[in-house]
Amino acid sequence: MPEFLADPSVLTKEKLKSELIANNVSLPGGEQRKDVYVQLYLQHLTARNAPAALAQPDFSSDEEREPTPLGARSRGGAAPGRKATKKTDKPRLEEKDDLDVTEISNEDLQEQLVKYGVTPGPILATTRKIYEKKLQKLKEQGPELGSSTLLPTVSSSAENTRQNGNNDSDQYSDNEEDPKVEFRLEKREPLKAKTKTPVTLKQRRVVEHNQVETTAQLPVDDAVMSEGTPIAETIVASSNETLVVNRVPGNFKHAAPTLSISEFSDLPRRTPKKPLMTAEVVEKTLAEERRVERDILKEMFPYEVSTPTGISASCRRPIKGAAGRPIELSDFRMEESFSSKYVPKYVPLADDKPEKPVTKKRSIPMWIKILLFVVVSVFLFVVYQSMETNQGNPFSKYLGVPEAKIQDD
Amino acid sequence: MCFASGLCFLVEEIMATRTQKFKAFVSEPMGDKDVTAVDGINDELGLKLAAKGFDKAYILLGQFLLLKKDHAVFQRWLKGAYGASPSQAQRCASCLTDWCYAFL
Repeated sequence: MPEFLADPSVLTKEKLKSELIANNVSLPGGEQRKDVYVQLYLQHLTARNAPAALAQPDFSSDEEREPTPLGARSRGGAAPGRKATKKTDKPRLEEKDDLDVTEISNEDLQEQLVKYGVTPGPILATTRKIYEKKLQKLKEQGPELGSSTLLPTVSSSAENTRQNGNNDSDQYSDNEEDPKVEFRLEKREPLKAKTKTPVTLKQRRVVEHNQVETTAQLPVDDAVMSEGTPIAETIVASSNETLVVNRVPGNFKHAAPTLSISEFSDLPRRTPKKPLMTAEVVEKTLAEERRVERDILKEMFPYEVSTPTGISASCRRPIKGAAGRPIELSDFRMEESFSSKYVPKYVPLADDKPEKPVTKKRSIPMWIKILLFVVVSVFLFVVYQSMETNQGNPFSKYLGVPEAKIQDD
Repeated sequence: MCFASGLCFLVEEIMATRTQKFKAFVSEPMGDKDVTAVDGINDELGLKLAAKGFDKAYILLGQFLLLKKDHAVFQRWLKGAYGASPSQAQRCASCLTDWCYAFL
């Protein structure tokens, strides 16, 4: 029996495939990543260098692992209790097998969430429980996810959060959308940049409405954005349509023109928002309001430049007289009172912005005083010079020329 | 007198540049700005915050709001958990406070 390589990754993918075929190893259908073939090679062929008994039971596990070519995540998740021939899988599997998520530390919790492709926000006392639940769902659903695309796996995590019911902070749902959003931003680059917001909003809306697939919705966002459709008329329709779309996962294209402004589901979405209203929620609802406003504006002014974040950098000026701010032009006091008092602070801020783009405040009057002093003294000196006639000019030894001037007078 | 005025000028400049970041942050909605855009957060502190998940300014704002916009508590938290200096924490707290007054 020929000796097989211990490190099959030195071979090309084609070579690996041919080697596998030559040794009657069943290959997964379609094009797979080289890692898959390397794995198979190791399992079947390298194992044959050793007693063949080890190779046999791996077949069943291989079959299940093959359709999940999505790298570490699915491979690790697919065979939690099986023989992992790759050494790299083993430690990871063991780590994930700490079924008691409540015992792991914050950092470990974060790491494990990252392994599932989720970017969690800060894991603090308030957010920890939510992330624990999410990790648990991910671990349960991880092995079951046999799909070959990124979307369903990502959306499953979204489903988890939806099933959780969006209890306290929206942080996790917002953050987990980031990878999805980034995934989509590649397609959406030529399009308007408000893509991020609709996905964000959509996720939250889905939390309240449905527990069904977000797969339908996420790609719909793409289509929606590409449409750039007139927004106003479909506001009402959008919220209804999304519910319909949820049940029709395959009809991405159909949903696109009707779904259009998923972002406007902000408005209905905000109302069912929990009364808990944590900081993040408050922050985000405000941000959404602004987004809604800006989207309408975009429709009204389609030639406006859109920004990557979807937020137009309109310099917002605090309304004078609002929120108890007295209308005063006390901008010179600003710097000193930064840390001390709040009331005079934001008043001078409000006034300072439109008036003084330059940061110098107090320095200006001082410099003006000095300048004025110098100017006045020079002026007086010149006047004195011109007044002096026929008398011995005490300054004559300092100034040679002005004598001619005096003579002209 | 020239020396005195020059000195005054320098002092004003230093104060001006320090508050530039402050003004830049407070003058518009923070959007998706990085946490280092907040006044008082330098690169080093920003990295520490980002490692724990506070990579955007709005997340730090979230923490600030969760602490009920309490200056002292927020500063204590920032100093204790991320090793910020008192001046850093104070600048950060006042920056966020001003932003809240303007936009919240």
